[in-house]
Amino acid sequence: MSNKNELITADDETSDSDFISRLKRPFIDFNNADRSGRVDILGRLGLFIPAVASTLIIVLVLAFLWVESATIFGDPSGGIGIIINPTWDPNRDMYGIAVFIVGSLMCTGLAIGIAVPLGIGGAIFLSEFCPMRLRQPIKMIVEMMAAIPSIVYGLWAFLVLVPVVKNNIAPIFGSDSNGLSLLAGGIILAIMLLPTVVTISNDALQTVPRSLREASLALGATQSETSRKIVLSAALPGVGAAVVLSLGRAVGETMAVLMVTGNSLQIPYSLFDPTYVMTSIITNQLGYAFVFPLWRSALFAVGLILLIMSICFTLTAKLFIKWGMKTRGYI
Amino acid sequence: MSTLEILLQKIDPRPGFREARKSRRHFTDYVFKILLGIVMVVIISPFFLVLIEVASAGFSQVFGFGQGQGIEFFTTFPGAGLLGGIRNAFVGTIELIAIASAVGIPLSVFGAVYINEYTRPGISREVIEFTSDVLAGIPSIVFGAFGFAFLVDFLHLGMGLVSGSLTLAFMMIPTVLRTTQEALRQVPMSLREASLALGATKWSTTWNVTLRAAFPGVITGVLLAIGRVMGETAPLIFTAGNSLSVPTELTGPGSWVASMPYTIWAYVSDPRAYLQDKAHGTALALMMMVLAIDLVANLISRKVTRRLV
Amino acid sequence: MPEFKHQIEVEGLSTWFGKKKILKDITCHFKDNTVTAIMGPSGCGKSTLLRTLNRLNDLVPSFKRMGNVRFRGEDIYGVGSSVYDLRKHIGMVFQKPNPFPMSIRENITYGPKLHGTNDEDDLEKIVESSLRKAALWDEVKDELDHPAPNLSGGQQQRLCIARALSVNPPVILADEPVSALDPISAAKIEELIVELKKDYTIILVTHNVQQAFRVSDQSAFLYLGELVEFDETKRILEAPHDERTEAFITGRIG
Repeated sequence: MSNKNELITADDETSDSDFISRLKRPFIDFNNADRSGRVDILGRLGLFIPAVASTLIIVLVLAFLWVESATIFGDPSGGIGIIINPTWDPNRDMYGIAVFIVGSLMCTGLAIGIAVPLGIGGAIFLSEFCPMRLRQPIKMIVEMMAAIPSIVYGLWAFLVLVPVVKNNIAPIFGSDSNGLSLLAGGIILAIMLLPTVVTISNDALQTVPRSLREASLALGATQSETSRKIVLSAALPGVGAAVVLSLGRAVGETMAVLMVTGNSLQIPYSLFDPTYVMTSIITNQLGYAFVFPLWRSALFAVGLILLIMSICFTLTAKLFIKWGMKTRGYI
Repeated sequence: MSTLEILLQKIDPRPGFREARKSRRHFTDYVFKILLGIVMVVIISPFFLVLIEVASAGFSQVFGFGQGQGIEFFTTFPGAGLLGGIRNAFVGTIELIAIASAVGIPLSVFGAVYINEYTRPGISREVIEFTSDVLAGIPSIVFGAFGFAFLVDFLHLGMGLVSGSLTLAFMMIPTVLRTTQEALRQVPMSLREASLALGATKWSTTWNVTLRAAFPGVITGVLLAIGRVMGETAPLIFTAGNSLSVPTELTGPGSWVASMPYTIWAYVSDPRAYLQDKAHGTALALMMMVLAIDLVANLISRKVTRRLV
Repeated sequence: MPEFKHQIEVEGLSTWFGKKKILKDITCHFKDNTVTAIMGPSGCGKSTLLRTLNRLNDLVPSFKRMGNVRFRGEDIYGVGSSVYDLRKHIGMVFQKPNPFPMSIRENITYGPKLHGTNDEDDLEKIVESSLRKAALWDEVKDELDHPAPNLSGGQQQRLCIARALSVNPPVILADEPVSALDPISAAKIEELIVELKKDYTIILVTHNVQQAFRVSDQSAFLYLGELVEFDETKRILEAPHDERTEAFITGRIG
């Protein structure tokens, strides 16, 4: 009887307590089940294995990062202090990673500073003012921008943007930079973030009920007043989530930033100084470092910090979404 | 007259509703719209700048007729002085993506089905969802480092096709898992209930009804994930190695494999000028592949939303 | 200033969305200090007519219009008329309560601030008098800074009415303002509408005959975009001239 099996499933879903007995139960009934009942049991098992495997891989990534970086945090020459120590010199067993953290934060800050105002403006344009005929093509271009591989952006930035910074922008400010700089990194990063900011903010603006816009217009507000004071404020949680998510992308971006920031072990004091970001140090040195336990572990520690940042961003984005659901009922 | 009316008289003493066309508010409205239009142009202009730069030197490589150009760009190996085509990278990318998809997609799609259809919402489910959200946001270089530590070093697989493609597969898992879950969640509960009410088993309901209804959404997620890992360089640097030909073995140096993104990186940083053109050609080809996949995903997802609305 | 008999006069109004004709040659006028109900089955163009009066349909790109709508004797679609100023003089209440996601106070002060009132004391007075008129003051006077979406549905709708009153429009358009509310809240809103007609001209869209009977003085019956009857509510409901009106009232169409 196939409905016998059905009963079991229903039962399953009400008693959550004993995980082991839940796993065992289908097998006990396997012999009693008819053909479709057996397929059902096998199918369930066939799905259970991938579920465990994919969960396991997720856990593995986290575990390996932790285990690999534990060495440096447990070592007397390392310890938790490396995150505020600015000296990175593997030859002398000094693994301060503050330079990279500061470099990443500055580069990201610059990129966010450029991308967020532009991106939100673009999203407002797309959602509120864009002529119908242009909306789809623009959305498509923005989505395609998100799909362009980071190495292609890197190639463009390295061959076009860096010379522009060197020849056209730096001289204005009296700098003789060679173009490989914080500024170049910030600009290319901003370009790569814009699609994320525009797309997610646009989605958030679109979920704002039409009736709110109409209520504002019916009070005599202009369209721009409505979009700034009502639509944007109503979509604020979603826009906040967009910003946080793009922050996560910015900190983790590797190839394009690596190619244009100059990778010099110093904290940049001007926009035209070179800098070294967290992802770049892993990319550049893991190949040599893997036979030296401390050096390698320090690089994994950088990876772990990237992971922790990523967790913070994900959590913040979730908070924004929760806030939106609570105060607005939509996101 | 009420206080309110007196007040409002103060605000706007004119009894009529006529207002000069060029009032300050009209003007601000107008300027704001124009400004945002300009912002939009600024936002999308990099797309064309990148396209022009890549196509300027890459077009003749991909569509030209010289030695190592046009179809030869994809069918000949680099050869002496790297003057030939990029067959090693082209085939390498295809092989890497094929294996990564074969491993990563079933794991994540079926895993998502189990998590969404067979488990009750609860702590364990939330933990899985949260960790995959976190993992989807992890920098690709961290995946590269993990692939190196786990596959190359810990499991002694060595660099090459296997390690490289498995690393890419790991990268796909969180993305595909979450998009599949999202697609399954869009399937209305009543559809499942209708099938169950006909006496169908959970499995046949899941397989024939739920998954079929969610299929376009799943495919979109899968395509987006493929397009994303296709352009990844960072995870491959420490896991796939590099090669001037295609892999012939499963382990050892014979399994080392080139990829298009890696080739772009290697060629751009090379001092030989003609390799810049090869890098542009590779970038153009890669961009066309990725954008084509993206376009298909876009068309499918548009069809999906049109059907759902 | 042109002479006018009624706040709003509609003359030969026809509207289209794309190729679809929604309103067909409508001529009517709305008397001051009365409640006029616009009745009709779903899709007959009630809401379109209402939204044409404050030009909210302008936002729909495919919207086309022929004929005149005059507010205080001036053509609202005429050259040089300001749509923002028009909407300030014609308030609107929507089908579902739609308070802005801000505090109660900010909801009320939003309109006056747009139109140039920035004095704190003035704003404070407007908040109080608007909320009083909407019979909400006693319920919310201690929580003016709480978020408006936390109010109950009926309170939200009264807040929306207060928001519309905040710029003191002589005319208020109400688009099925109680259809999304529970019966008790609905009754309160209906009472409020009757109360407000002393100071305002109210145009109420409804598909509920009983409601029209309870609340309105004048009624317009629309059917498939045509204005079938326009007269005193009592007369229409007791002795409809047209058989379509009778069919609607007795519940045979709707």
